[in-house]
Amino acid sequence: MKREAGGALLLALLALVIGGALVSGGWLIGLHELRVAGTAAAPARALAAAEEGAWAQVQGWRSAGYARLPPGGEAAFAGQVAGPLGSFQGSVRRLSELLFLIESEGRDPDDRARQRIGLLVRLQPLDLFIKAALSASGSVRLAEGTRVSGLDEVPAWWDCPPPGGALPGIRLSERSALDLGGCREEGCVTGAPAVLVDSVGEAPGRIAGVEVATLRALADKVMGPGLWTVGPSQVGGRCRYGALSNWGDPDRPGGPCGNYFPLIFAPGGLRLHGGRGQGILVVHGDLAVSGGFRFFGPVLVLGQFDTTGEGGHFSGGVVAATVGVARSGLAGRPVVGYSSCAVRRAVVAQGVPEPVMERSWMRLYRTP
Amino acid sequence: MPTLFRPSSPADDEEGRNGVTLVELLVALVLSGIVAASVVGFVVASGRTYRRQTAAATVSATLRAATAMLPLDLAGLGAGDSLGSDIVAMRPSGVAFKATRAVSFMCGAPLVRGPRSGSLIVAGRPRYGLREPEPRRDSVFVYAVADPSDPDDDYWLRADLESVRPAGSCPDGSAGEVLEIASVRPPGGLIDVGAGAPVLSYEVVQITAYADRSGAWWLGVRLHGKSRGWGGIQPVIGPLRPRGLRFSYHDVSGSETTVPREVRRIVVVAAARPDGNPPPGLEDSVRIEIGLLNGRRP
Repeated sequence: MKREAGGALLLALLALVIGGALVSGGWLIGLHELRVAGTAAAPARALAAAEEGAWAQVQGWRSAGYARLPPGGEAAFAGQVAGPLGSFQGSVRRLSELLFLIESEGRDPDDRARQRIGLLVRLQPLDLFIKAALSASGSVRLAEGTRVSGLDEVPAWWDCPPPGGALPGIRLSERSALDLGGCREEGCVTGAPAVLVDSVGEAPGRIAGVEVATLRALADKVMGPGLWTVGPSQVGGRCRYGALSNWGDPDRPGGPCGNYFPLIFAPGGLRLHGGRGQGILVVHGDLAVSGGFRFFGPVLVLGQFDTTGEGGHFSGGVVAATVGVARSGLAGRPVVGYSSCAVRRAVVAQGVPEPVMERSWMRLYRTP
Repeated sequence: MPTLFRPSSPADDEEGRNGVTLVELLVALVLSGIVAASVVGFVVASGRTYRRQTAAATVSATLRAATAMLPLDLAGLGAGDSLGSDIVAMRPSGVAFKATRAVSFMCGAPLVRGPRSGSLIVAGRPRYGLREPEPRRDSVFVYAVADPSDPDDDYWLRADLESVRPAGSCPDGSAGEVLEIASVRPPGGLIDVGAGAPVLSYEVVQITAYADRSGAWWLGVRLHGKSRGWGGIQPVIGPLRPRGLRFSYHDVSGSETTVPREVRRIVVVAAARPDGNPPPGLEDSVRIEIGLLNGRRP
C-alpha cells in the first residue's frame, strides 16, 4: 500500500471552514437585515390598523349606537383589518354632550408592534328649524284651556343648562289663520312674542328646513298605521332599543332608556293614545294624539296635528301644516311648550360625527 | 535522488522512495503559499467588507431612526389653526413647533377668575402623554365650543400653565388635578369651555441640523423654556452629511410655502454618513414625506 504525506487535506478543510464561515456570515447579515426591515415595517402596519379601527367607528356610528352613551360612558370595539393586515381594539368614550374620544390600538399581523392613537370626534347636530313652540303653515285652532308657551322650559328631572331666551308661542303665516276659540291669547299663548306672523311655508318635501327623505333615512323606528301606546321598555336593566314602542324614557334620564332619543318616522298617519317618549317624531301624514300622551323633543307633522282628550304634553317644538287642539276632559290641559334642552338632546342624538377642528388626531401614550 | 527525511514506511523503503523529494517540497511550498495568500486575501477582504457593512448598517440605522422619529413628532401638528399654527418657525435646516406632551379631560366647568385667567379641573382618568404637565415648560390648548349647533365655530383656546396641584375631587367624586392658567387667548374664551373638554399641554420644540465641536453633523433637538428661552441642543440622530438635513414645506396643492398655516405636508431629506473617515460611497439618504393629519377641515 502506498501512503503519501502532506497537508492538502488540512488545507482543504481550512479553506472549507473559512468559506463556510464567510457564507454563514453573509447569510446571517442578510437575515438580520431582513428582520430589521420587517421590524421597521411592523409599527407602520400597527399604526395603519389603529387608524382603520378609529375610522371604522366613525363610519359605523349609527349602527353602533354611540350617541346613546351617557357622558363618561364607554363602549369597546375590536376588529380585523382585511387581509388580514392586522387587528385593532379600543373604546369610544363620551366626553360631553357633543365630544367623543375614540381610542384605538392597532397590532401588526405578527403582534410585533402596537400603536395607539386617539381621534377626537364632535357631533354635528341635525339642523332643525325650530323657531317657535308651535309653527304652522296653515290654520291653527285652539280650545279653551290649551297652553302654548314659547318660554324655554327645562323638563323635570333633566340635567340641562339654564333656560335660554323665549321664542314665539305660535308662529304662522297669517294672523287670520289663528282661531283661539275659547282661549284668550294672553292666558293661553305666551312667548316672545306670543304670536308671530312670519313666512312659515316650506318647499315641497321639506319640513323644519330638512328634506323629509333625509329624516326617513335617519329613522331609528318606522311606525306602521294603527293606534299606538308607547313607553320605555327594558330587560334585565338594559334598554330594549329594538322595541318599536320604546321611544326612550323622559321620566328617568339616568335610567337605561334615559339617554335614548330615537328618530321616529311614520310614513302614513299616526295615532297615539297615552304613553311617553322622547326624540324626534316625524309624521308624513296626520298625527292624532289622545289620552295624555307626552313627548319631549321636536314633533314634525306634514299633515294635520290634532290633540284630543286629556291634555297631550309636548315639550320641545311642534311644526305642522295645520293644528287642531281640542279638550274634552277635565284631568289635564293640552300643552305645547318650547324646550331648547329637549330639542338639543334630540338633534344631538341624530348628529353626524366629525373630527374636531384641528388636533383631532393624536398619538396616545399611557401616562407614566 | 537525495532525501531529506527518513523513510516513512517499510513499503516506501522497498520502492526506494524515502520521504519527499525537493521538487515535491517546493511544489508543496508554492501551493501552500498560494493557499495562504488566498486565505490572507480572504481575511483582509472580509475585514474590509465587515467594516463597510458596519458603516453601511450605521448609515441605515441613522436613516431608519430619522424615518421613525420625524413622522412621530410632526404628523400630529395642527398647522392650520386660525388662532396660531403649531408650527412656530420653519426653515430649510429645521422646524420649531408645539409638541403635545399630555392629554387630559376636564371633569367640570372651569372656574373663571377673569377674562384671561382661571382654573381647569381635569380628571385623573383617562390621561395620556409622555409626561405630566410642567408649568415651567408647558402651555395648554383647551377645546371650546362657541355654538353647539355649529362645529365650524369651535376653537382651541390657549393659555399659559401657571401651576398644577391635586384637586380634592371632580364633581363625580373621582380624583383630579387643578391646572391654574393665565394669559387666556382669546380673552373670555373660558365661557365656551365645558366639562369633558380635552386639555392638551404642550411645549415648544425645535428639530434642526447642527454641527458639534468636532465638526460632525447631527439632527438635534432643543426645548424652549417659558422663562429661560432655548435650552441646549441634544444630538438625537446622526452623524449626518454636512448640512445633510433639509426640510421643505408644502401646501394643500403641493407647492412649497413659507406660511405656517398653509403647511399640509413636510418633506425631509436626510443624508447620513458613517463615523470617522469612511471609504467613499457609503453615504446614503432618505426622503420622508409627512402628511399633517390635523389640518383644518375643508
